[in-house]
Formats: sequence, C-alpha cells, structure tokens
Amino acid sequence: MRGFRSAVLRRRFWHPYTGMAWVVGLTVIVAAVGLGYDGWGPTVGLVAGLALTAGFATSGST
Amino acid sequence: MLSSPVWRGFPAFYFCLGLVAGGVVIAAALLLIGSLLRAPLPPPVRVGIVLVAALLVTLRELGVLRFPLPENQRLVPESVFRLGRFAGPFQFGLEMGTGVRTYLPSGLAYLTAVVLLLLATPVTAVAAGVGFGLGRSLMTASALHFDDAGGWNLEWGYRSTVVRRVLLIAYLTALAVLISSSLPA
Repeated sequence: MRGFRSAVLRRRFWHPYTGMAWVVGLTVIVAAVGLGYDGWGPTVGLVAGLALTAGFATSGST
Repeated sequence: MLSSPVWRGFPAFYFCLGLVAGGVVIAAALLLIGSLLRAPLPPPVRVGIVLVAALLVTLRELGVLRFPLPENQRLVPESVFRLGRFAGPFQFGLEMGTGVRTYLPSGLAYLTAVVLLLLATPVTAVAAGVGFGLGRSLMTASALHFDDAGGWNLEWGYRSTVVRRVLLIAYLTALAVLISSSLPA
C-alpha cells in the first residue's frame, strides 16, 4: 500500500501538468516582476522564461 | 529511448548538460545571424516582425492555420552511445538542445528564434539558451522519474492539447511584457 501511494505521488509530482505549472508559474512571476521594474535584469528573466516555456513545449520530440 | 534504465543517474545529468549547452550554442548562432538583420531595421520594424510571427505561430498552435515549419524530421542516431557514458549522452543532448538535429513539434521554439534574431543581446541570448535547455531538461527529468514504462509520453499525448495551449498563453503574456518594456516610452 505504501509503495502504491509512493508511486502515485511520484507520478503526480512528475506529471506533465506539474511541469506545466512550474514553467507557467516561473514565467508569470518573471513577467510580473518585469512589469514593475526597468533594467536588464527583468528583460533577461523574461527571455529566459520565454525560452523555458518553448523548451518544455517541445516535449514529445524524443 | 529516454525511458531506458541505463539513462538514470549521471548519463541523464550529462544529457541535460548537453541540452543546455546546445541551447546556448543555437542562441549564440541566432544572435550572430541576427546582428546582420538588426543593423538595417529600426526597433519598431523589428517589433512589428516579432508581432506578426507571434500571430502566425499562435494561429498555427490553435489549429486555425496549417503550414509546415522547417525541421529535421529524423531521430538522433543511437550511434552516439558508442562515445561512452559521458560523451554519448552529452552529444545526444547537445544535438537535441540545438533544436536543429531532430523533430521540433512546437511553434514556440521558432517564435523564440525570431525574438532572438531581432531583439536579443549577448546576455539575453545566453539566458534564452539556458532557459530552452532547462525546459527540455524538465521534460527529460519528468519522463525518467514518472515510471519505468514510458508512461510520461502517454500522459503527454493525452494532455498535450491543454498543456500546449496553457504554455502558449503564458508565453504570449511574457512576450507582451517583453515587447512593451523594449519599446521607447
């Protein structure tokens, strides 16, 4: 029973929806920060967030 | 291929390292090519091209438009594994990380390439390369840890429409913020 529960939790943690939530959460946080500040930091974060989203979206190519 | 148990541990880490390195390599190449394109184009024109590309990719992702994008429709050959437990996975990751060696199923990667060509600086190009590699690494780590039977790819297949649309919305939101902050006040 414990092994079954562990497997279920593991599958939930590594589920495509969980990965999507991480990527979207990080990108939205960086975008929100970018709205409030000028300078190169938020811009670099935004571009990294765009690329992170694009990289995860290319899943399924292996 | 990635669901094989031999990929766990250090080979998987080297593969992800290769993905990040490949992302940085292609971002640097796009930055270099973009330096020729950016020179004659004023910023508003560059932003306009990015917006047109974003519209086309969005319509394609939503299934409204159908047009092929250039992609190398081949798998990375298994012969890369002859290079050993470090160089083999690293080279495999490097080739996949560039995005030009195998299938590239999302239009967002192409839109990112347009952003890099027309708007990037050296620092943002490196950030984009690392981000792209980490995004692909997250897929790899998820697929390896999900189960031992390739179940992650099945789940991705079932959920890909929802996931890809949510990712598209997040991407366009961040792109809108990026463009609004890059335009002169």
